[in-house]
Amino acid sequence: MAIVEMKKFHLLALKSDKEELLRRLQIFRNVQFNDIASEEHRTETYAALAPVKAVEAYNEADTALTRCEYCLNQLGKYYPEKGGFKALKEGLPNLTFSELEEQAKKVDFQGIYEQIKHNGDALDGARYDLHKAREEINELSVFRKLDIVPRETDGLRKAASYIGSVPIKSRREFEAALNTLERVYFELIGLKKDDAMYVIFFYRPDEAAVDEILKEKGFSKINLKLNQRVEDRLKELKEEIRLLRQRREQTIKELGEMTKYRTALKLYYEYMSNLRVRIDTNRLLLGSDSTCCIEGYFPAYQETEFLQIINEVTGGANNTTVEDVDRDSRDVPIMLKNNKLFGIFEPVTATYAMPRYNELDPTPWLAPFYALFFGMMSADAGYGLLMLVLCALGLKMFNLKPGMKKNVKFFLIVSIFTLFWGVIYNSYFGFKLEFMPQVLDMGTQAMPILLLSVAMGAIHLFTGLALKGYMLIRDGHALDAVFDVLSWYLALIGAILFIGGGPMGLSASVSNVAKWVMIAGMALIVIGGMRSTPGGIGGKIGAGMYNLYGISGYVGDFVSYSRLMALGLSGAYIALSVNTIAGMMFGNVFGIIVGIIIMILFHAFNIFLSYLGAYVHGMRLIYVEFFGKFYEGGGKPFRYFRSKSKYINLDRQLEE
Amino acid sequence: MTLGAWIAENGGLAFAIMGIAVAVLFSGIGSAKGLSIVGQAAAGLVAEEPEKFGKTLVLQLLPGTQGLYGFVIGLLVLFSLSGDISLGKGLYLLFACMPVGFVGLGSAIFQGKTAAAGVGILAKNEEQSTKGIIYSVMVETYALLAFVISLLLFFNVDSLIK
Repeated sequence: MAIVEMKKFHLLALKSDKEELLRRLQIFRNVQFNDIASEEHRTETYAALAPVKAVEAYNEADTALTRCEYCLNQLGKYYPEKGGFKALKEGLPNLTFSELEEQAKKVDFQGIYEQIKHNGDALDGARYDLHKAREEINELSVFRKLDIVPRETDGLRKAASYIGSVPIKSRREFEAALNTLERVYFELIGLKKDDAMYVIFFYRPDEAAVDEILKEKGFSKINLKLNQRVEDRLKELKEEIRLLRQRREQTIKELGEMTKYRTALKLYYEYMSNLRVRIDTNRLLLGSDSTCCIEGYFPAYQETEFLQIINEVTGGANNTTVEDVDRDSRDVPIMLKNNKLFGIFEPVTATYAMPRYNELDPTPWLAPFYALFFGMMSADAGYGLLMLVLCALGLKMFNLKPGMKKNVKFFLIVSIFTLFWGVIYNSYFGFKLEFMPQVLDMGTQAMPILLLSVAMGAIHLFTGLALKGYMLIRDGHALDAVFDVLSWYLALIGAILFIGGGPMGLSASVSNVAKWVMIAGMALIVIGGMRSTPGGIGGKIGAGMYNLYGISGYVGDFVSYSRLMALGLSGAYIALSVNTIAGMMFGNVFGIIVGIIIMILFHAFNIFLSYLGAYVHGMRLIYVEFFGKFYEGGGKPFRYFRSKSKYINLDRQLEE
Repeated sequence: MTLGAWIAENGGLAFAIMGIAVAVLFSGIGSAKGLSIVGQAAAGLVAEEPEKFGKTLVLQLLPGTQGLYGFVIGLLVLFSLSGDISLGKGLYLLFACMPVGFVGLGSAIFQGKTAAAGVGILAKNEEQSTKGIIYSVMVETYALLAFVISLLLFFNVDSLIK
């Protein structure tokens, strides 16, 4: 339940062992390498060593991956995989790394790739040819009525011909102008958009005169390089299209045969992408002709296992040092380890920021508050129960990915709290059940609920402060704990009892004590501010007062918890209004059906909205109010020596 | 009957209804505007990456809550209506509805702008998109505070005024 203790290792081994070493470390998974190859990290220790080049191997793996993706895309395009319920139920195959390795090595990738590539090229070719043929048909169809062979007119001795278009709007002028010449024959062939297509025959000596007219009227020539009649060419093209389509169908059918390789391709993809990560690691290493040097981190609890792997691979031919990490270093990668219940809330921490190595893991502390707050903001027993059942069913029936499984578990846990608060408020899908007990009534007890919200906030904030105190004392700053934590406890608790003493029915003497406690706390806060500021007395007093001004921030923090009441109430009243509106429909059979549909739709919407609101506002209370008291974060998450798997669940027991 | 007398007699109900209108109208307008700002930003993204539709919907929905808070307050006042609401009580209800209405109007629009910027996070770095949601939720705090005040004013109406 904490940040996993790390060890830093430094390893010098034979170059010949490097590949196997990296392979075994990848199976080990929990190792992250330091970049000792970059200029800034190269110290004198490494002066004799040079960066390792593995560009070719990397490119090779990268190409294989690109090709593998091409194959899978090609298959997916024509033979999409089944989705929906069944796919969820089956999920992704679960494999261990060794199983993956073994199976991927059996895949004849080159053979499969060549077949699919050949097939894909044929499809691309067919598509291109089809496109070309359609374009040509599109171009020629307007000349369908031209009953000559265009090329044949080239050979005429005394006459010449043009084919071309004029804008439709100048058609009459164009025809009139041509009619002024005697030895001209022209014919309208067809219309296309704004153009009229003509064929013109004329006596060669008149060419200049004809050209003059054509130029004036905006005639543009079209050169049909055809040795046959347009009609015949069109028929030919249609036949060609028919054949191309047939060829395409055939090719797609052939591709269908290849779907049997889909699983193999996926395994190969996963294997290669892990291999690529492995090869890429060479960037971070140093080496010479016969040695290689690796530096990095691994979890302390796996030290024996780690050293055993190294000794096994190298047969003892290595020089390994393992040292404790510098607690205050920002470079130490952060791995969180919590029990199964709290582990579900790790993403809440990670979304904000991983803790630094010298902080503490806030996950077990935020988890109960988050769940409680979530429940209070989405409070409805019906909603909670429904979501609880759905999540439980999902977990039971589907083979979910580890990340997804964690999410579903998360919502399962918080749904229990939604159910809990729903029972407290006696709200079941917005209905009040008379036979159920009611602890708090949202309809009349808004003020007590508000006070409860703020009181829960106070406990939350004090817990945050306590954690800060714990960290300060742990790190040997007991005095800081007095001024930064104890002072606030005194001032806040004193103020709450002093100001709230009357309404709470406390005696005057208690109030009086509370007053002095508050004043003592405030004095400590001022002194704390003065203490931590260097400089003259004026500056110190200013800093002290500013520190005390921080009390206004606490007022804001307390007020912020009123959302616990507000969101709960808003959800409940929306549920209530849904029921009221649906209730108005309940008159005849038709009305009942409509009413039920309204209820299902709008309650579903309200569940979504309540959960979304509770989810994000819960996070806000954690991040701003709670973390603001003690948590900075900013640690770098541990990068496992694996690629992110896409098509399989690789060693899923490690990720759960 | 003079106007003054009419108002004294019937004004209570009229002002209470005006309160419902203020709560629902302004917060509703704000939410509609906020949703549209996010929706427009999201539409550009979904054209390129349709698979992010679900996540854009979450962002788009965020400024929608103000309208619901206004609706809840409006509904509460609506349920409490009766023919014999005094002028004082009617005015009280009208003013009680104002925080949720006006803050709802402003905060929904600003929240919409923040959420629209969150769409940018979603476009560039999907894994970090929760943070865009958190930014947007910061703005909503003030709508919630206004809602709480309207709510408390409403629940205390009978203890404060006849």
